[in-house]
Amino acid sequence: MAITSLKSGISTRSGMAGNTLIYPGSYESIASTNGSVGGATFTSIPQTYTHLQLRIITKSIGAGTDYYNYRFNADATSGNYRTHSLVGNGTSASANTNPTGNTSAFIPHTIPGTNATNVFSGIIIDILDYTNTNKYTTIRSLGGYDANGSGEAVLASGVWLSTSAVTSIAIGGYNTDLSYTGNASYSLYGIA
Amino acid sequence: MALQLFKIETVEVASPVASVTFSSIPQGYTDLMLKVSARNVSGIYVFDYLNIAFNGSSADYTLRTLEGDGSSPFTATRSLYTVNLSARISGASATNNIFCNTEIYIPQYRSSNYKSISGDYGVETNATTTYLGLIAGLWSQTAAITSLTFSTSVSSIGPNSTFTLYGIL
Repeated sequence: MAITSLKSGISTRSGMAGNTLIYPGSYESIASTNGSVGGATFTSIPQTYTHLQLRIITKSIGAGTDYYNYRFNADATSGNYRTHSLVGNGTSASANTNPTGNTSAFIPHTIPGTNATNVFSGIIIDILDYTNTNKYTTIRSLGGYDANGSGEAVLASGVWLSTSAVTSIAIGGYNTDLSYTGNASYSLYGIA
Repeated sequence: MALQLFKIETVEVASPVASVTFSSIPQGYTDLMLKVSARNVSGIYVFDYLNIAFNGSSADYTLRTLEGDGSSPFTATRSLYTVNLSARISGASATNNIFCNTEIYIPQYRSSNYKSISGDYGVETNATTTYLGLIAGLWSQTAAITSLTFSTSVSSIGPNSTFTLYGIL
């Protein structure tokens, strides 16, 4: 008899005689969306996991390139975010930090605009110990895109200078909105 | 197919310790992955090295890195420093309450080949200069990995640091 998770939709075999015992995994889908105008916001994030992971594929609705922008718990306090990045574009490498004073941090992963037809950016963002109130929340992200003549591969880190547990995450574009149609997808996972 | 990720163990440091060890690692997975959120307790730097050793061995490690420090990128090898592998951990001079965000991936940890690892990390601080980067490492021994030990090159691993070991099928 198969058991199907109501949360993840994953079917596994049961522990009945004759079946190999399969333990539940430690990686679960919390929510996934194709987004709305401006990107995606995940609210009421369960506080029962050890870590979170975001997996996103999207692009800007503007004509040119943009950057990911994120905000925890709707905190728009000036200077409460900081990011650093390591970027390669196929010709040269660079390392950067964002200006202080941002009300929401931009993740310095460049995302393509509508002038790059059918080209999307992929990114994976890890958020560790998001419920630990002894720590500022840090992120680490790896992603990029290639637009057949341009593009970037980027490793970035960021910090939210608050010890509050993360209960919501908003992802958008830094200058313009992110795509919410087509193949855009925003998925949040919990890691036990 | 869904990612088959299973937590093996989490270690949360309550008071400063010289090292954190995962021993008797189950041999039923294909790969191992670690997520580390840690900082050390003293020293003068924003960062420190997060040393990694397998099976208590202090030989046959080599490593190469691609890093950025907030201003410049650089790459290096540590072929002359073979007593362990190393990523980076937040140092005592990093902004208070900031812990590194590090992931280490160890494929085929039971194989009879040499063991390759990859990893990436961010050691944030609220200033321009800090480190983030990628590592690729090799342990030139053929034994299955049965234990992992983390330590820092300076000082001790501080309270509230967490190390989580996962098995991947």
